[in-house]
Amino acid sequence: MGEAILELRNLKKYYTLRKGLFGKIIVKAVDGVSLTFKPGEIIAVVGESGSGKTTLGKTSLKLLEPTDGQIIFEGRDITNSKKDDLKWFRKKAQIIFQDPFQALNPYHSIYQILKEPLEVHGEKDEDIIMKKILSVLEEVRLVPPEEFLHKYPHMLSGGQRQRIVIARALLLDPIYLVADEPVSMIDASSRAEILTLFREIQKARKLSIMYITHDIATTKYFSDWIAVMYLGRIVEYGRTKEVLNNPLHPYTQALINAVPDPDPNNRFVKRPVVPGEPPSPINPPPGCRFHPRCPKRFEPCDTEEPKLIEVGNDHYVACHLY
Amino acid sequence: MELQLEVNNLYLYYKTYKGIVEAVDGVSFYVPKGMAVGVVGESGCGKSSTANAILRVLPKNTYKYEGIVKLDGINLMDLDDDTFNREVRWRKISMVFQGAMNSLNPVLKVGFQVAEPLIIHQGMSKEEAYSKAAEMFELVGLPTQFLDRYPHELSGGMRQRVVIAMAMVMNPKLLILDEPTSALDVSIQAQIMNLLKDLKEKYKMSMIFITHDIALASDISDYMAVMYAGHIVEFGPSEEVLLNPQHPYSQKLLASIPRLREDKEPEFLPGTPPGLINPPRYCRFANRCHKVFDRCWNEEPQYYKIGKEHYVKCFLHES
Repeated sequence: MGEAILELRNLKKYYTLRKGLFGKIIVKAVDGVSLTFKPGEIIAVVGESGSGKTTLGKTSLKLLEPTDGQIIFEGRDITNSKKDDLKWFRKKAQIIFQDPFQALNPYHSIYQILKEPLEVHGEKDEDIIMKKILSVLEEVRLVPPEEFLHKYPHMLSGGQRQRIVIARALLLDPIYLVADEPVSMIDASSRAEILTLFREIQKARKLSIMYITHDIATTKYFSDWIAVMYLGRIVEYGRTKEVLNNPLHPYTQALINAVPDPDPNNRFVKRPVVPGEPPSPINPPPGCRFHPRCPKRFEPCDTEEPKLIEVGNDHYVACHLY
Repeated sequence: MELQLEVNNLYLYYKTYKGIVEAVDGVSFYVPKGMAVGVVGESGCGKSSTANAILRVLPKNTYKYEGIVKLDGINLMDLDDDTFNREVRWRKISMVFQGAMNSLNPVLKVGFQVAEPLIIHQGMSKEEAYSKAAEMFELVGLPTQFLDRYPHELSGGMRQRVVIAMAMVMNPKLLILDEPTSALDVSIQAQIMNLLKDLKEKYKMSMIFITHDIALASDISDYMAVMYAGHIVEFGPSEEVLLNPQHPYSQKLLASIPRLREDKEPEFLPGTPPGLINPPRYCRFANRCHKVFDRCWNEEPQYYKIGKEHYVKCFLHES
């Protein structure tokens, strides 16, 4: 699939919390994550709240400064680049936020909303701006585009707003996008529509996307690879189909088991669940971070942290069972 | 089959400066004893308003509130507010409100918050009430030491258990749950669903389970009511509604759900539901329906019975 667009090498993001006057607590939100994005591929980062998935997405865009590790974008190391040297990167890497109700300025018309990023990046020609806006609106199927220009966000449905958010991210022709739970605030019946449309656009533009989600069911249709995160670490990584059909890590298995399909027989059986809740990343358990909840833990799990190893078929897992 | 709850032609309209919001517009369904009914639909379709109407939790701007709500055969709509408060709310019908786990009083210990209604409403002594609260904690799978904790000392899943304990403390016959897991992580969601299954099985609890997630609803519901724009468009046993959906909206809604265990591309449903202020006087789904015909644009369909307990609000099933 060609050269990597973005490489995250052993990326770490720690937050320091103050405790009392002199005490310090370190929160290891992202603790050594490596991922490689190739053109036209989506990597779904799946995890529960507190797993560090959003921090990972923001750090990959340099919206947060990494604590350690490297970010290589188009072959250039931008880990320590300063804000002023990143304008080229800001154009090529964009983010789509979760909540389309908060991401759009309610006092700006769609035209104003979409014009802004072009202006920020130095486009002054009104004709070119208009042409670009109309074509991107068409691309996200808000047709006829002229009708949407002078509308305001409150006049649009959740699905339409999210398409505006996607359109805004596409305007500068990025090659890498972070989509942070792009459909979790949208009604079920529109989710499939948005994801299908987004997938078509992504394929046509050969975009690389980091798709951050807690909903493992949608990854089946909207990703090529899955990275499962737990407490700041990737515990399993592989091709989407492979991970969904043959999950190896007990945590991945639990995540998949927890998601029901609509089936009337569900009510007659209890769902296999992992006990407890994810521990705080302030003080992750020693050894394997999942071991206190793991149904299959054994000897080394509470002392030795498993490494992410390949078990064949581009399928990686961090678990002592393998 | 004995019915716990029977809802017939229930209306709840709100008055706003923009006009009358017809949130619940002639809704009918029932809950057999010991069974769970899942009420599913998109946001703004009137699910929560239906629950509020059953529990008579009405905002000040209520414009129209009528219909029949029978609990054990007695029409609750005949009761005055005082009697309803004293005898029905929390004692016979209780509810876990959406986001309730984040509405616990932060300065009171959770044990007290569970015991309080027993002291106030049932005149129990403090000791009695606390022992009942402890019993409730065990019921919902919380260690009894947690009675002495404050809400912020508990995780989201535990707070949700506390809220369920509060709803169960007066031994109600019917428990209404409004999106009880939507703020929780999937692994915690599965734990709560297992707890609800336990309660239903052990205590023969009748339930109304409100959610936008039809897959989640299938995890507990014996019956399903599909809501669209203030109407229930399809009602019946889960087997019928999920495996043999007859309303075009139910069909499309089910087809749009991504499935982990089946190889099926999700279909989509273009368009948006009509607003509930001045909604169309014909079928409200007509503008998005793939099977629409002339009649749908002229009048509103009735409920047609198409199976033993299967009802559909669609002209396709008139005969």
